[in-house]
Amino acid sequence: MRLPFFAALFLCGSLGAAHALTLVNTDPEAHTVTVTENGVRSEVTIEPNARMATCEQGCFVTFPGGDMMVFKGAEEVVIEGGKARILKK
Amino acid sequence: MITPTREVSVSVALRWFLAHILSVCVVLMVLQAPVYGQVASGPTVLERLNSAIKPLDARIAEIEKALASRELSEEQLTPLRAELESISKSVLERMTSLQPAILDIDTQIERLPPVPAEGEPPEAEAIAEQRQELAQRRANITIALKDAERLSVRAIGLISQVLEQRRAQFVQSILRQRTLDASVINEVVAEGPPAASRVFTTLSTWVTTVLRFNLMGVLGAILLTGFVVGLLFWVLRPIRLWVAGVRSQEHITDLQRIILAFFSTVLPGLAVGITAIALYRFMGYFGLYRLRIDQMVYHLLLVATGVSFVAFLLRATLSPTNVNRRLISMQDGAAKRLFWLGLIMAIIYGVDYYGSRIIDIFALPVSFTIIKTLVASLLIATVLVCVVMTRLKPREADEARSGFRGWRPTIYWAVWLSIIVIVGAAISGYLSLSRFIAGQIVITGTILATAYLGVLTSRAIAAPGAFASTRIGQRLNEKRSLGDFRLDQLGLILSLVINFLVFIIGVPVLLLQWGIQDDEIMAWGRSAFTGFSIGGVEVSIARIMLALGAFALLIALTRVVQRWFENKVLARTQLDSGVKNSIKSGVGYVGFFLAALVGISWAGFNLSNIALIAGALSVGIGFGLQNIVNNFVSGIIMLIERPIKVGDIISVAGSEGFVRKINVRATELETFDRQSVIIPNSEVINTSVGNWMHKDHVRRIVIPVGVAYGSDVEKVRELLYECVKGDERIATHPAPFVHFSDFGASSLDFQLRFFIRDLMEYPVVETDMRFAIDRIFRENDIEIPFPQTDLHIRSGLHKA
Repeated sequence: MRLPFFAALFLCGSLGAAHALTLVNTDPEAHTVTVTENGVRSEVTIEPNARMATCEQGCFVTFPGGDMMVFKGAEEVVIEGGKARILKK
Repeated sequence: MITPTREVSVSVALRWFLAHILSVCVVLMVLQAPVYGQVASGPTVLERLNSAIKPLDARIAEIEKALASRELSEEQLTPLRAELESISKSVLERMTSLQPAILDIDTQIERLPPVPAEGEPPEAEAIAEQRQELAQRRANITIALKDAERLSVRAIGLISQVLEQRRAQFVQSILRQRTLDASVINEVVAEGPPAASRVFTTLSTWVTTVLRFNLMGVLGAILLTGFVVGLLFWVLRPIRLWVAGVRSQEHITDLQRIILAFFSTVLPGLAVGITAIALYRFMGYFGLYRLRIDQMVYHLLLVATGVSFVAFLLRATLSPTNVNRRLISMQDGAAKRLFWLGLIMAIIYGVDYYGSRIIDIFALPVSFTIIKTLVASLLIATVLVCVVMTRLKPREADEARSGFRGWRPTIYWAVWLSIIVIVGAAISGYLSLSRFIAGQIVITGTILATAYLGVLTSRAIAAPGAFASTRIGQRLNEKRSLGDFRLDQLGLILSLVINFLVFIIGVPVLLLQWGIQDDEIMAWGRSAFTGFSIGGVEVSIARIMLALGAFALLIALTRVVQRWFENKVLARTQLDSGVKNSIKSGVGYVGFFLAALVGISWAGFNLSNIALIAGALSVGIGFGLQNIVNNFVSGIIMLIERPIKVGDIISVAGSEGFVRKINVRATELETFDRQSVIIPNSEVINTSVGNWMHKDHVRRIVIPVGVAYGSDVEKVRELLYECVKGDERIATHPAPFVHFSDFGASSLDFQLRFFIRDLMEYPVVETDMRFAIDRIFRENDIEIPFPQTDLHIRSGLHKA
């Protein structure tokens, strides 16, 4: 029974390792945000009622209203009524 | 003696670790405190951040200016990339300390009463003021963040400039033209003897000083290096034994030949390399180095390692003494000649390389470099001419008389072309280019030959039956009884892995040779691993690997759970095999489904997108895949309802036989004639299925038997009962019954009806009963008649 044990250990470990900035759009319309990760800008569109993992190593994000935020890369952000709100981890 | 020291060192390490953790915590607390303390007065945090960012900004501007002037040297350019990356990273890191302030402002804005709509009375002035102030603060933060973001984009953008300039410099350095005239030769002739005496004096003083004052150090370095060599011998012993075993064999397989070549190249090469590193380190450890000596030793060891690696590679591939182990087919003389030529070429290149280093270390005049490079390039060109003039196949075997002496035309022409370029460039003064090409023939040739060995290995392993014949394959077969087919598949996977490794190791090493810097390669590797985007889809090898790994692991885990469930849990229950099978399959399906979900989501695919695709597909499923889905659902119903189970004897759709397997789509039936019938699951669910074993295994047997008219029927009944009495295979309840069925045409017809406990014995019991009846009737003189007809001929009726 060593194999399953290590397998479970690996799974747990990698589950912990796989984190990223998650954007959740609860609005009925899609939103486009600008994500600057590692000095590279990219536009990301989040469909209505969708969640999406964006950056892993920290990034700047410009939200539709023009507000800008900075993230370490493991937060969960809800976009509600066009405004972004960080969910406490 | 050892244990206490170790304990001491462990406790020291622990204390060190704890102290550092504590100090880090304290620093973190100190760093965090002002941020929280000054949340209310946001501008101060901002000011502090701005002043922290300012030097970074200035540094970027400085780099920009330096790059624009195009005056940076290779040494100055190399560290810039890492610096720019770290600036971009630290800008972001500093800015993240603003997060609490942003959160605070956002919550404060949220707490304010909602903005009055048009027509409503305006809000109180104090609230409006507060709102405006908060908005102002938020805007200030956004401005700071925008600046920081622009800075990080600028920093990363500069990296491409750095790379471009480095590449340009590399090309420039290769294409530099130097003139060879009398002054150069005069300088070498004039400067030669003093330079040689400088080098010699440095060396001799070093040797005498070391021997006189640090003899213990010399002995220590030699002893410790000897210890490392012994350790290597011991560690590599199993492989050495294997190699010796294969070498003594008369006949060796293709795979063995290649693995032998691979081992006898890589392992000795590795051993020499490790020994060289150890020697270099130990000499430093015992303080044997003087000024410039460590550089000389380092490069000497490097050259020695390189040359010996080439020697091992040549010996392994050409095998000058044994034709059986030769990887490239050629005649004996050619192998011997090519071996020596290759070795000479490597030595020339090594000496040339070492000469450059000596010239660098002793800061000798450029004329030395010019002469040395010219000589080395021309020598390598000469050796190359000898190489290409070597006849690989005997003249008689070369039927086509192609004139290539057994060489492949492409290689033949490539070698000649490079000879012409080397000599031409050297004569026309492009010495760096000439040396570069000559060097690349040695280095790139070595790398390609090593990589080719790897490719050959993978090809040989993938050959049918090759992996099964290896010792590992045999052991796997013994332990896990995988069978040849599985082993072949494993061999295929192994060959893919080897190819992948060759690619992963070989390509960066080659790129390094061709002027691409190691940090660039590392950065490519990193971006390939952490992700790059193609058309908006984030692709990352690490993620895909992770997803595949997670999928494979979950599947393996499912199998383990299945087996554990089957052996440990289900084996103890009273459930019948069908239920057990259903549970097992159910667990398998759930596991597969979960593994697929986890794999897909880890690979970075959005599950909602997949739902979208599934939605679009559902129309197609409605029409085209209807049958398959129908069968699949039927399969699930069969698992739950269990009208049939594996091992049952059923009759369905005109076939009768054992159920061998219930799959997702179809059920496999094996008829008594051993024909496999695949019946779609929907058929089993929708049509009537006869199952002999649904509730129990009891089956009725009816044996009709007739006795002659005039027999004692009571006795017949008794005898028939006697036949079935005492047979354990025959059920006592319901009891056997003798049925007097008919006064037949030629016999009194009876039927012996009885039930057997296990229907699998049906033909045996029936046959046994018939034998018994025949015997017992014979013993008791009871006749079993055959059909007979009395024929009465009536004559003379028409007389009247």
